[in-house]
Amino acid sequence: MTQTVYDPPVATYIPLQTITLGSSASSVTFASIPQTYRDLVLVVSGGVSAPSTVSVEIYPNGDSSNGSLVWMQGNGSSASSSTSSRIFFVLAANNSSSIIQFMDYSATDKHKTMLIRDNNPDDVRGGAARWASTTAISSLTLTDASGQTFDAGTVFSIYGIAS
Amino acid sequence: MAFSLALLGASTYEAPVALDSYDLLATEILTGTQASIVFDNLTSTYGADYQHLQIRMTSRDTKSDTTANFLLRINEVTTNSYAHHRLYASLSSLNSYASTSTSAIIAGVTTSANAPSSAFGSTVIDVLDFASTSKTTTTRSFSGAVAANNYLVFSSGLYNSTDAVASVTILGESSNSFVAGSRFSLYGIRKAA
Repeated sequence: MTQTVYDPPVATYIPLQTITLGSSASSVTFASIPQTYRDLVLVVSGGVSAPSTVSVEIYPNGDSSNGSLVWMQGNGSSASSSTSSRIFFVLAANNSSSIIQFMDYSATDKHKTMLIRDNNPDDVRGGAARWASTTAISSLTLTDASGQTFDAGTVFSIYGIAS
Repeated sequence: MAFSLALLGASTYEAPVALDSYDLLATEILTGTQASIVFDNLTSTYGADYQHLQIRMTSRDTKSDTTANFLLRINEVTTNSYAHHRLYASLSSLNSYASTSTSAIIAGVTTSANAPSSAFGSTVIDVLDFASTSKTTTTRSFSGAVAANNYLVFSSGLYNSTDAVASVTILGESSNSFVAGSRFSLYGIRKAA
């Protein structure tokens, strides 16, 4: 098997797009994501209108189905884990942040996998997800299915990582 | 009293260290089954310019199961020179695990032969201060394999030697091999100028 060694190394972790909300919004979409990278990193910093935490669903290419998620969380008094057929990360009413790795998002020979880390004033969380589709991800929609909105000032950024 | 970063012992930078501080160094995408992947000549090639290494991988192996662990070795050392801790979720079960004096670090999970077709696991591994000869080497991993048995793993690893890291080997547990389509990429995080 051939290993490609890059000489010189290739600068990557390239900022692709940042969306900063000027007013509250019910969803955010990154459209026309370039297919020239291997992985994507989504960084979210901000909050939601709910009184506590909210599960923000991720729809690759607008698809709200075909998802699987396992997650764990700890809040200082208990720790737990569970699964879901929805792919989501968690934001809180106060300022919180999430970082989601989309692995091999541009590949067409495998399902898409995600590694999720959430940090908020209420708890700390991690998750792993699979979107059961071999279609390359060209758009990402983030929405709260319960109807809460993202606060004005919430920042969403995506970065591309080459391989 | 106003606090300054200097008083807190931190360095301050008037400008970013570099715009290209995270670099792609090497990639291997399998076209057939393969027992191990080796990134070598690490300190000699990258030690002068990079502080930390990161491996990003999507993988599936040949084990007759839906998921499996995979291993990491440093400098091809096979003696009991490693230790690791894991915090992991499997479905609704949350557990932790630790082992010392092992012959490899259990670095994460991968999907296996009985997982749904086209389902791969994903892992990000950081190898910190890889060129140091004054401290032992630590790794950290964030790994998931979402198949019939869903696994999410946070793990830390120790290579109990102050030797610089010349090579990193990723291999299947119990002689399992990685299958075609598995991808392993090595990145470097640059040192401060």
